Amino acid sequence: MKGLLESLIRGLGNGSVYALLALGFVIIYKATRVISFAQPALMLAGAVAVSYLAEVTGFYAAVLLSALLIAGVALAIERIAIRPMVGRPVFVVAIITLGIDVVVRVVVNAFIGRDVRQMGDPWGFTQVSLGPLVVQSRWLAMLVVTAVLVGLLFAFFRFTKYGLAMRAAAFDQEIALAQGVSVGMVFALSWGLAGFLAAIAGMFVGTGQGIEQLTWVVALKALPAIIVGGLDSLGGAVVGGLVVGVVESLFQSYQGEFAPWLGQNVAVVSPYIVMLIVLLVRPYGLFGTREVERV
Amino acid sequence: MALLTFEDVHLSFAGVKAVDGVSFEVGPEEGNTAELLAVIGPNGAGKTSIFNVLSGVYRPQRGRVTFIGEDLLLKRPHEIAAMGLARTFQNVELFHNLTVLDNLMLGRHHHFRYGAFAALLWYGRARRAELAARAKVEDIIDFLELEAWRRHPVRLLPYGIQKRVELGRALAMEPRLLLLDEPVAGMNLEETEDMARFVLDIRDELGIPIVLVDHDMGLVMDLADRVLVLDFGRPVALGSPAEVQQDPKVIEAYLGGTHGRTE
Amino acid sequence: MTETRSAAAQAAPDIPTGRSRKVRGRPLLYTSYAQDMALLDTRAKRVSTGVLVVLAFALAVLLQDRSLEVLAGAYVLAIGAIGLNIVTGYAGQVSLGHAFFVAIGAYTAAALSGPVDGERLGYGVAEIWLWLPAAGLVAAAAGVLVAPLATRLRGLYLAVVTLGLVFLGEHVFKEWQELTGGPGVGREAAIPQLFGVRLDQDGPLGTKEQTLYVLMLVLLIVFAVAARNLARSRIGRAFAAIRDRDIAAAVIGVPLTRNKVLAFGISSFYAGCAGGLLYTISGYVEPGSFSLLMSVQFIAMVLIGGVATVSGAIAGALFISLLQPLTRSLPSLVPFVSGDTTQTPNVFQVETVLYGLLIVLFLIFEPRGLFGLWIRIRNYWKSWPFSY
Repeated sequence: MKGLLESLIRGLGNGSVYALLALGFVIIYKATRVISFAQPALMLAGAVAVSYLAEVTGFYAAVLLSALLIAGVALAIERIAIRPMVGRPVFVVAIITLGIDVVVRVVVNAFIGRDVRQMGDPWGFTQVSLGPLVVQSRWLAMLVVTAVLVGLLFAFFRFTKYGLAMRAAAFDQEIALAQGVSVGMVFALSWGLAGFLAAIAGMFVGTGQGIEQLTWVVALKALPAIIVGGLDSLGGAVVGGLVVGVVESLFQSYQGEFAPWLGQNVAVVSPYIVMLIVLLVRPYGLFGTREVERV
Repeated sequence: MALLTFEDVHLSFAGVKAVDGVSFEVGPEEGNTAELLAVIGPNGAGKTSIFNVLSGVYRPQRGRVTFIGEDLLLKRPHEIAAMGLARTFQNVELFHNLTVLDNLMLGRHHHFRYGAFAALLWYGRARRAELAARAKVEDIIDFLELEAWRRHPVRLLPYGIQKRVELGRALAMEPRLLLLDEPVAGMNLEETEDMARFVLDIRDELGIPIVLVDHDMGLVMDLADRVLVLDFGRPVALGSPAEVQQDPKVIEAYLGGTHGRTE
Repeated sequence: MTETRSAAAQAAPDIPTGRSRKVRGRPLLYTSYAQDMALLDTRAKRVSTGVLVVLAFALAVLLQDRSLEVLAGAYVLAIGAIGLNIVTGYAGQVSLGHAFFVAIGAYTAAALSGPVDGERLGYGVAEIWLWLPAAGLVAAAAGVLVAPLATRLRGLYLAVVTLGLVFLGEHVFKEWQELTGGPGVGREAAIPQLFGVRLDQDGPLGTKEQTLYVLMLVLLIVFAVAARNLARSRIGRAFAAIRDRDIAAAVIGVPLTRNKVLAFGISSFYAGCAGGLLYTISGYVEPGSFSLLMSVQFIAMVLIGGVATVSGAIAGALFISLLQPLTRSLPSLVPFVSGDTTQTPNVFQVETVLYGLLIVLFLIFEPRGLFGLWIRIRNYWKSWPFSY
């Protein structure tokens, strides 16, 4: 029972990182109807930026600066490669983001080199006791920071005029445009937000074990998360991220014991198994809106 | 027995009644020639919803629809098409990257019998079937005067021609019943007259019964054998154009009447 | 030109098939539908295709073995790219899972032709005409199993799910060491043997590279012609209809589920055959090869070559394959690019960046790919010296 609860908390911690990444995907999707496959590169870039800046400015300032820096990078990408593609098929734009991901990652890898880079974070692998449970402090940090960010994000969408503009554009781009909403601004804002969140997520991924060139794969776990939650649901992204984190954590803890015939490292692919099962039951995810076709 | 019977059909979306107890039949009854039934009504009266029920896109909550004696409500769209029910759409729904020829050939899809293996080899049955289909499609191109556009991707064609290609695609299906959804919407006078001529030719020369939905009262009254008037999904009147025009309920609901209702 | 054709069609409505009259001096006058619907419908196309094919075969004796090896690989990748084009280009079902089906073909072929009492799974069926169709069919079966998901999902949902397929596949292939040898170890690939003659060894017909080159060229021609036939058949039209507007397709009588399943099946068949053939050249398969990067490479081939064209897929595969030897020779030309993977920038990084940039640039500036560039050049010279 103690093991199960600890495993759950680990899952929720990692899951909240996936949720941050998933939110980035969903924000871009809602604004532009495109899944941005460039998120893994932005996440990795964020982590690398923190690892360099932390040596200069200290950890917390580094996190903030990196998040802003990556938001800027995302804005530049949007302006250069995505904005010219407005009105083109979404598949084409999605593949462009795939190309951007490949390019950005090579550049970032040059900064990583062959070593593991540390974040310089205060948590490392330190543990704290929660009553009878012993958990890593970084998991709690992930949970708390994500909760705060999600709260701020929802308040932003609910109460600011930019949030309103984004919701309007997500509902219908043409009508929003006709009402004076700058859809270009909405595109830019969505990419900027996604970049910001990806950088924070990247930093958390790097806490403890550090990052290396292959770390980008972690960001792909957000894909099953958004599919499970539903591509166009912000709440779904959070739930999906947590579900994926918990499932993965439970597989890590118990699959070897209960289902060894699945082979080692099934935990790595368990998010995709969950995704397939959810899709068989609900083709638009748990909270996604069903597309209604009119003729 | 009637070709198509539409009996007390109810269809609603989240409480909004799109079709509310509509019934009608389409001939030919014994001995009659093909008839043209027009369905008219204000926007949102449920005209297009009736077509979507007929072609299997929507499932009504209640009611019975039979076509050549078979229940349509249990069938999927492509099965209904294969039974010989063809339609056009209110907003042109062509395959935009394909040529006029390919669009028309697609209308004949369910007439082909050869499989994937024959298609990969393009030999024997597949080749013969394609050539024969091409000849039939050319007849339709001839009939609808589309010769000049054959090889053009349809997205490049003017709207009026696109409407005509869509009609051609429906004809290529060799239908037993043709559903036309606003065939002259957005057309100028000349294009409207062309289309009216084609519609009459289809009924009289090809002998295909037609159900037609439109706003254009002049056109409807000129072409139709019978008229069904709808308002808010409910049937208001059904009869010959002359009868319907005299009906006070129709005048009130559709032609303006005392409320001065406008659209 | 359109007028000429329609005049011909009207003049001869009673001979829709077969026989056609030749009219001297009027090469574009068609007198039968068969002529009008032919794959190579103008003399220029017939001549240029003929010359290309002859040239391609002549290369077998003109080029050095190392170049032939690269080209043979490119031809196999072209078969795979044509397959991806069938499902993604023609039928509009975005698949990032092509590497998965390639892997299934590769391992089916390797297992079938492997030695019976060897270290890995093997059944000793080395005849290529047995294992090649088998590799295609097993992959096609996998495609058909995945397809029911595709019929329920739209657009990018499908892209992500097929991406998941690649990861699941990678996991299975890394774990199933009896079949694949496991990561870093790998196993021997399929053995191409035709009526008892090993095609991957120097023999009376030529060197190993020459025989493999000719084999791949012949197979590519077969697969390419079949794909062109498919594209102009009822099935190709149905795929395109589903891509352009699926609801309208269903309403005019195109069964959606059956055709999507068919598209995945045929596409996976091509992928499986490509997988079986690809590793006969190096003689070795490693389970790490079938990653997302491979899927992206196939997508790059299709997009750079030209979506929904067979010649485009071939051009794209050649382009991407020839990029590699080109970048590998960079260190000798450009001083700051290193051939050593521990250095930055190295050739592998340059190569990867080029893939990415090429995809982005083509999609932004010439979405029809190399095929589109070709059309532009052709149209320019058709109307030269007039610009209209």
